[in-house]
Amino acid sequence: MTFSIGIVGAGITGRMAALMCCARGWQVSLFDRGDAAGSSSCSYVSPAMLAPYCELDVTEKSVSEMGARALQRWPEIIREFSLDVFFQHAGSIVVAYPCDQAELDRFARSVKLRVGENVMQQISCETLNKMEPDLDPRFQNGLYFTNEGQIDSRGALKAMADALKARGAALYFETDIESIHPYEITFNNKVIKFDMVLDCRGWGAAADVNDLRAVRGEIIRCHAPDVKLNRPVRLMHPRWPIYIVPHANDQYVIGASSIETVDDGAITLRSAAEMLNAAFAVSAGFAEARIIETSVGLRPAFPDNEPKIITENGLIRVNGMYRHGFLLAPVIAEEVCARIENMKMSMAA
Amino acid sequence: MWQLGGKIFNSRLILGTSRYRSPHQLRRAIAQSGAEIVTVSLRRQASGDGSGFWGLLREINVTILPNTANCRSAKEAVMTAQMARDVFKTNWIKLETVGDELTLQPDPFALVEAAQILIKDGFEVFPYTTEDLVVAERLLAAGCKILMPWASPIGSGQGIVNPAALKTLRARMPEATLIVDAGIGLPSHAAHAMEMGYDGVMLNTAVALADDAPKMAEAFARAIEAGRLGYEAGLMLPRQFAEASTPTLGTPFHKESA
Repeated sequence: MTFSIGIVGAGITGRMAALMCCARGWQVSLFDRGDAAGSSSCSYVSPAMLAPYCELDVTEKSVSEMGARALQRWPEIIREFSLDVFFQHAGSIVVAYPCDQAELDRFARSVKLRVGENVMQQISCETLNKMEPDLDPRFQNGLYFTNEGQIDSRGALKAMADALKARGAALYFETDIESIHPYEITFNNKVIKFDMVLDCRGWGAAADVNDLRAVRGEIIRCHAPDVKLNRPVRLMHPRWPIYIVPHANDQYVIGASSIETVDDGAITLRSAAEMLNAAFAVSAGFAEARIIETSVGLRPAFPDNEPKIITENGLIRVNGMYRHGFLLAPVIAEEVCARIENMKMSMAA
Repeated sequence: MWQLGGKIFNSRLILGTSRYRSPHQLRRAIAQSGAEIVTVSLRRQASGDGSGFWGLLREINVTILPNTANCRSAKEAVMTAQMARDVFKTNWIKLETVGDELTLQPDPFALVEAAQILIKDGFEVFPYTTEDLVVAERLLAAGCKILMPWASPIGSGQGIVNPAALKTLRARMPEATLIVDAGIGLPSHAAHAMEMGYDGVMLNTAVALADDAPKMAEAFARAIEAGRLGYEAGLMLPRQFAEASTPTLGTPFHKESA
């Protein structure tokens, strides 16, 4: 009989795990309270930078190493599942205003100390100008992280849902799950049995997972035809560190705040003012940009801000992806599948 | 051991809680430094239930000193203080009023005004102020028993830019509890403040953004202890001329003449 797996939570982690389970020939059912687009997950808000090294400013070396492996996997996954999605591997740029040079130097030193200096290049004003002509001319130097990329988060969520459907996975969107237990998922007062249940609900699983907290992230999406950035740009700033991620059709995602709260209400004026002000200073072209969206997501995190896979018989929980869902999903999903294989083998024995 | 706001502490280091790579790093920094007091900004986290993060702090049994970071007016600071009292069940408040957005230099007028209101309301007020003597006097007159003058602007790491003024504060206010807050970048800066007779040091960035935050926290803890011990032991005063520490009597003649 085909091995059946019920996955709850269709953010990037749930969808990636579902695809990899399909690839192993397992019968996958994927449940989410939100829609097929994924608009109720924090993945939908993510600008989906695949930046294992830039993220060292807010994370540990272990996440960085995992992210570097996952970045290599992304193009293979896109090919394997024929995902029609924008992905690029063109590196990222980090800059700081001259008065905040110490922030940039501190970051460069920290990266060098923790993962070595080979992952970045110090670039001059001229090089910066060649690579990203629209950056403010006041930036006198920068850091170029060659081995980083980005993916269109919404495009990826959609493409993955399509691929799952094509591979015969049962998709239950806009379905409220009442409870999750080993080997069973309850919804609409029905209990459905599986050989394995996978909980990928993120913050939605807070009641069932110890030590989980929410870190609010706010982003602003704008249409800025006067700006041309070729790759994600990060601004090091003692108070308002931001990143700007270019997307198709002259759209840019400016993000992201990191606030310790479970409040998922609309963006605050303070956050918006700080982010927009910083973006305007990164490139004056943003002055005439149209704000087309502001969004808020609650990222699930453990105290060490590292992801965790919690295994028991019949139930695996993946959580704490923090701000690294897209970055880490390939490696985490593979690890989950490996654990399921092990459990299958020990069950067979 | 020392007394602060009616409580007894061993450590004279107060840590900030922002910009750590993770709450786990913060907890390790607190543990490794032996810090017993941490300051928490209420304002950014107040929009809803921030209990995930605050719960983590409560678990480690550390005294929480809420602050009014980013408040500009006295009214706003007072409101934030009252909110902090409800959330953290404490009458302690690190009173901050931003007067200048670039340097985050405290607004002394709003500070004194808010301090007066909060003292009357039963708060133990820890005002974050500059090294200005007259402002410090007004804060004491308002009823503050603790002052937190800056070493230099927040997050600048410049150390004590006006040691003469900080010395004057210490000399003129022997009864007040004085804690240097902000601008401390190096352990030696902290030692310097303690050698000047300050009662404690509060800092965040230098530890939070260190490559190894827990180790840096310990470095500061030791520097603060060393500075304090030196102060208590009686520091050597600099002298005009170099003086040999051994008497020349008994030195072989050939060396004396050399």
